[in-house]
Amino acid sequence: MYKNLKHHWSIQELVTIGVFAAAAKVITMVVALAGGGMNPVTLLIKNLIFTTFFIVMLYKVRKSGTIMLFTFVSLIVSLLLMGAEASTSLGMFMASFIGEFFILLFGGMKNKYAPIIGVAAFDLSYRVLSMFLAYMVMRETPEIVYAVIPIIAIGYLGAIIGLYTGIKAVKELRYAGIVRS
Amino acid sequence: MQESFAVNTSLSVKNNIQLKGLYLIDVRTKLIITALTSLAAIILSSIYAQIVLLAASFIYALYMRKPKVMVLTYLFVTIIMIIAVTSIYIINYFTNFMQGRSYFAITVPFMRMVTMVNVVLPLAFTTNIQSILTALKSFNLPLFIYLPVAVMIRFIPAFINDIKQIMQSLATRGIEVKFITLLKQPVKMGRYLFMPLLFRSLRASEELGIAAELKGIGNDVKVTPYKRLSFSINDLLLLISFATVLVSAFFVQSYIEVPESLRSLHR
Repeated sequence: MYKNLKHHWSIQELVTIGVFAAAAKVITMVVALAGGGMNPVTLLIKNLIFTTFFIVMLYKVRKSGTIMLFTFVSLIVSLLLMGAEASTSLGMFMASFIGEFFILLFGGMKNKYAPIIGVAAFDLSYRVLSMFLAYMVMRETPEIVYAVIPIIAIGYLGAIIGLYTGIKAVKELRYAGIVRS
Repeated sequence: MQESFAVNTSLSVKNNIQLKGLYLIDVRTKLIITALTSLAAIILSSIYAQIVLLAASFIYALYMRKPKVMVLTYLFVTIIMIIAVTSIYIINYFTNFMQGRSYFAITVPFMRMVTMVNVVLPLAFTTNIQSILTALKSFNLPLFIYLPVAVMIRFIPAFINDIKQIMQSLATRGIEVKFITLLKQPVKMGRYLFMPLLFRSLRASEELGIAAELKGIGNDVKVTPYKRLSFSINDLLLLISFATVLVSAFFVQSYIEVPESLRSLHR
């Protein structure tokens, strides 16, 4: 299995995953800083951009397991360099499995809309699982978790818009010959 | 872009001379401590057990020798805590859901959070990227994990530089990336920031991919690390100390009764 995985992604694809993970991390950080911290507009744009990047990356690297790898790589770096996302990392990783499962359910990466299905499932399950894990951490005062629900909902709205902008970006990139699949 | 990766030799020499405290600890030890302490903080629910973890992690964080970072972090957590306690006080004033319990009972989630921060901060601030990469490699991580991680760490500073350039180019056109402009024209601003970086990412991935293939990355050739990791007696002592703290915390949770007034409502 390890040998199969070793040759599953080409070097070019592995580099693409790393570059996009870095770009997504940096741009979401910049938007958060430029937007002056946590506010609805910043949250919306941050999630919109992340989802768009995710979709473009998946159209560039159309291989099963890419969502898991992308998530895993982002998490390792976030945890090691910034210590951020420690509380949501488990939820994010589990959500990547769900995203992959949905892609398989709809016929694998050969399906024209597989990346969009995968990212949509990932986005939704990530938020649900993160809420569940946040509840586990804050179970002594769940009122704090309830107060976060509207914030997460706004973020999710951004991710839904990101699905649309992702499709539009892929269309443009395909027209320009940059995305070939 | 190349400029952002240039090594400042005088600075590295200065840093090497000043190596103290947690800077001397192996990155693998810090990784193990971070993972185990965070896990224990999530599992434990007794206020006394959380105090044990918090105290140990605080002492560990002090060895980081970054008082400014610690003060800022603690200030941030304190502000969040004050907001939360005030909100709960207001809710309790009308509903009396606390039923006479002490407000100390609601500090457990915050203690959990601070403990996690205390162990993550030293890892982030006392370890350089090269050591992290070497540590990841020493864990015998496969290429499909190691390579994207290495690329990501390598490209974060480059992209920060690129974003600066994008912002400067927007400024020359009279567009400033600020909260007000983001609020007024969110779609336009998103596009202004997003599109150049997307094309930059695509170009970088193409170029770097070709370069990596040409350099033979992915071939089964053993590479000698630039910097070797060393597991010293200090690492062993630190690991034993943390193991003792974790065992003590679980012991406190199991055998020391928490008074009713300090117990939270939801467990």
